[in-house]
Amino acid sequence: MSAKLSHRYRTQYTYLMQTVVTILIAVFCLTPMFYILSTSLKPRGAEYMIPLELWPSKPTLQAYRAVLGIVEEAELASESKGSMVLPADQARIVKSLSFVTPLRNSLIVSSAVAAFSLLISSLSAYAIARLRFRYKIQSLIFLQLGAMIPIAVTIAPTFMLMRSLGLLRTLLAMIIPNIFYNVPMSTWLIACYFAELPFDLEDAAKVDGYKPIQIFWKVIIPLAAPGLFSAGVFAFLGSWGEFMLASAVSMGIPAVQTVPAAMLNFSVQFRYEWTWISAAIILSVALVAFMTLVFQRWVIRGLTAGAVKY
Amino acid sequence: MAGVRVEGLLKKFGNVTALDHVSLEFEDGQLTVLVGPSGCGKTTLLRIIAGLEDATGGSVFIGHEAVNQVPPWERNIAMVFQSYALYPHMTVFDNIAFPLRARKISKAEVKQRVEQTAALLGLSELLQRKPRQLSGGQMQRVALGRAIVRKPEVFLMDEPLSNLDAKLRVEMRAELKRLQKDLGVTTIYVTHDQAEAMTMADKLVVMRGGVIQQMGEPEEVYSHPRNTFVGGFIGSPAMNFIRCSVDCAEAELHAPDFQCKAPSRFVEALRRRGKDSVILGVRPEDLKVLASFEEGAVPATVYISEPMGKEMLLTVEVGGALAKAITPTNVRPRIGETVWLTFDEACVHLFDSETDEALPTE
Ligand SMILES: Nc1ncnc2c1ncn2[C@@H]1O[C@H](COP(=O)(O)OP(=O)(O)OP(=O)(O)O)[C@@H](O)[C@H]1O
Ligand SMILES: [Mg+2]
Repeated sequence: MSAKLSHRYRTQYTYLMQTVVTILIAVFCLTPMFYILSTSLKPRGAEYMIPLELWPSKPTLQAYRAVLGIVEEAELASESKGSMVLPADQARIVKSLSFVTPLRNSLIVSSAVAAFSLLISSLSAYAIARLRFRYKIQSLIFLQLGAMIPIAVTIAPTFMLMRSLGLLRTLLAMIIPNIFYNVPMSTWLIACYFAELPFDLEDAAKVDGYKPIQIFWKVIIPLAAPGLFSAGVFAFLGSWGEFMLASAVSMGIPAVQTVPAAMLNFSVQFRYEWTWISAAIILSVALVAFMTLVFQRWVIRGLTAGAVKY
Repeated sequence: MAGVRVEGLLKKFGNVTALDHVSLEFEDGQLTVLVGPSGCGKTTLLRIIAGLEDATGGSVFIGHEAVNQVPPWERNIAMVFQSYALYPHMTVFDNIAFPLRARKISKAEVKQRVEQTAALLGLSELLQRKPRQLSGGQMQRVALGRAIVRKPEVFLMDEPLSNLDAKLRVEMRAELKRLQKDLGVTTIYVTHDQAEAMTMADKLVVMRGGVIQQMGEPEEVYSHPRNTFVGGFIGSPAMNFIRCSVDCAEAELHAPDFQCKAPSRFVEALRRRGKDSVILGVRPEDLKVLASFEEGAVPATVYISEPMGKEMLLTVEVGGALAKAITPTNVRPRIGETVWLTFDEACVHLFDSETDEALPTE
C-alpha cells in the first residue's frame, strides 16, 4: 500500500517538475515573440514611448496594413507627425515595401519544393524499400551523406551552377537546389513508411490486374499518406526558412526575394520602423506556426515511424 | 476456363530448394488440394503459377499457353492470400470492386457484380466498412469476394481458412466447395490441415520438401498411401507404424511384442523382396481394443485416454512404442490397465523399411 502511494507521489512529482520545466522553456522561447507581437500591434512611433508598454493600450493593425501595402493616404498624413520619414516619401515607400511579394514568392518556392521533392523521394523511397538491386544500402548511405554537407559549403558552386543555367534572379534558382536539399530526408521518412507495408498487398494488386506503376499510385501512395504528408511539411518548412541561398541568388531584387531575404532588406531599409518590422516578422512566422500547429500530429508520427526500422 | 499444368518446376532460394522438379496437372474445373507440412513449397508453387515468383527452371501452362513470360496482371488468375491482403484504405465495396476496375468494366456493372457477390457471401451490410472494422471471418469473406467477383480462369487459394475458428472453418469449407462447384473454375487450394484436404479435394496432392509424394483422389490416397510419409500425414490421428521382422517361410511378421500372419496379398511381394524387415502400418480407426484376451490379440498398456465425445482416443504402449486407437466410448480402460488389440488384416499397410515405399500388392 505504502509502496503504491509513494509510487503515485513520485509520478505526480515528476509530472509537476516536467510541467514547470516545460513552462520555463516556453516562456524563455516565447518572450521575444510576445514582445514582437505586442510591438506589431502598436501605432507607429509608440514603440519608442517611455515607459515601455508591455501590451499596447490601443492595439491597431496599422503596421500590418502598412507592411501589406494597403495603407490609405489619409491615414498616412495623420500619422506622419513626429515620424522620422518625410510625409512626401511615405506613399512611395509604402508602395515599395509591400511584404506581399516576398510572402507570395515564399509560398511558391516552398510549395514547389514540397511537391517536387515528394514526387522524387517517393519514387526513390519505393526503390529503396521495395525493389531488389545491387548496392542498395550503399546508395542509401550515399544519399544521406549528401544531406550532411552544410549548405554553406555548397552555396558557391550552386550559385555558379545557377548562373551558368541563367537562373539567377528567378525563383527557380531557389526551387531546384532546395528540392535536392530535401530529397535525402524525405526519402528516408517515406521509405520507412513503405517498408512497413506488407508485400502481400502489392502481390494482391498484381493478381487483381494492376501494373506496378498503377499499384504505386493506387495502393502504395494512399497507404503511405501520413509519411508523405510529414515529409512534405518538412520540405515546406525547410525551404521556407532557407536564407543563404535565397539571398545569394535573388541578388537583392525585391520581385524575386523570399521572406528571409526580404526580411534582411526590410530591416535595413526601415531600421527605425519597429512596428513594421515586427508586423513583417509576425506575418512570416504566422503561416509556418499555423501549419506546424495543425499538422504537428502528422509530423510527429512521421518522425517516429522510422524509429525502429533499418 | 482452363486447366493448369506445371512441368519440371524447379525453384531455389539461394541454396534452399523449395520446389524440386515438380510436374503436375490440375484438371479443368476441378478442385485440387495441395497439402503438406510447413515449408514444403506449397505457397511457392502457387506464387509461381500466379506469376509472382519466377521459377528457376521448368514451365507453367494455363490452358495450352505457356505463361512463363506473362506477368501476373495479364494471367487472369484470382488468388486468395493467406494473410487476406485486403487494401486497408478502401471500403469493402472498393476492395471487391478493385479487380473489376482494372478491367474497364462499366460503373453500373461493377456495382451490380459487387453487390451480387456481397449478397452471396453475406457481406451486403458491410460494404461501406473498412477492413479494420471487420472480424477475421468477415475479412476472410471479403478476400474471397475479391477473388470470385471476377470470372478468372483459375482460383489459387493459399490456406484461406487458416485464421478462422474451428466452427467457422468447417462452415466455410463447405461453402467454398459449393461455390467452386457452382462456378466450375479450376481451383488450386493449399492447406496443411489434412481434414480440410480430405473433405474438399477432387484431387489431392501430397508434398514434402518440394517433392510431390502422391497425387490422386482423396479416398485413394487415404486407402493406398504410397509411402510412410503419406500414410502418416493423411488421416487423423496419424497411422501407427511398427517395425517388424519378416519370417518368409511361415509368412509371418514378428514385432517385439507380438507376431501376426502376413496378409496374403503381400506374401508374394515379401518373398520376392527377400529383406528381413518391414514396416507395418495400421490406422487408429482400424485397431480394435478388447478388454480381454482373444485369439491373435496383442497385449498393450493404456498410456492415456482422451474422450472426444462420440469416440475415445486411446494411446497405448506396445513393445516399447506408443500407438493410438479409436474406440467406442463404452470401452473405458484406466491408465496402466492392460488391453488387447486386434486388427483386420485387410486394413494393414506394409512399407519397405529402407525406402519407406509401400509394398506392391497382388
Ligand atoms: N523469399 C524467400 N526467400 C528464401 N527462402 C524462401 C522464400 N520463400 C520461401 N522460402 C523457402 O522455401 C521453402 C518453401 O516455402 P513455402 O512458403 O512455399 O512453404 P509452404 O509450404 O507454403 O509452408 P507453410 O505451410 O508454412 O505456408 C521454405 O523452406 C522457405 O523457407
Ligand atoms: Mg504457405
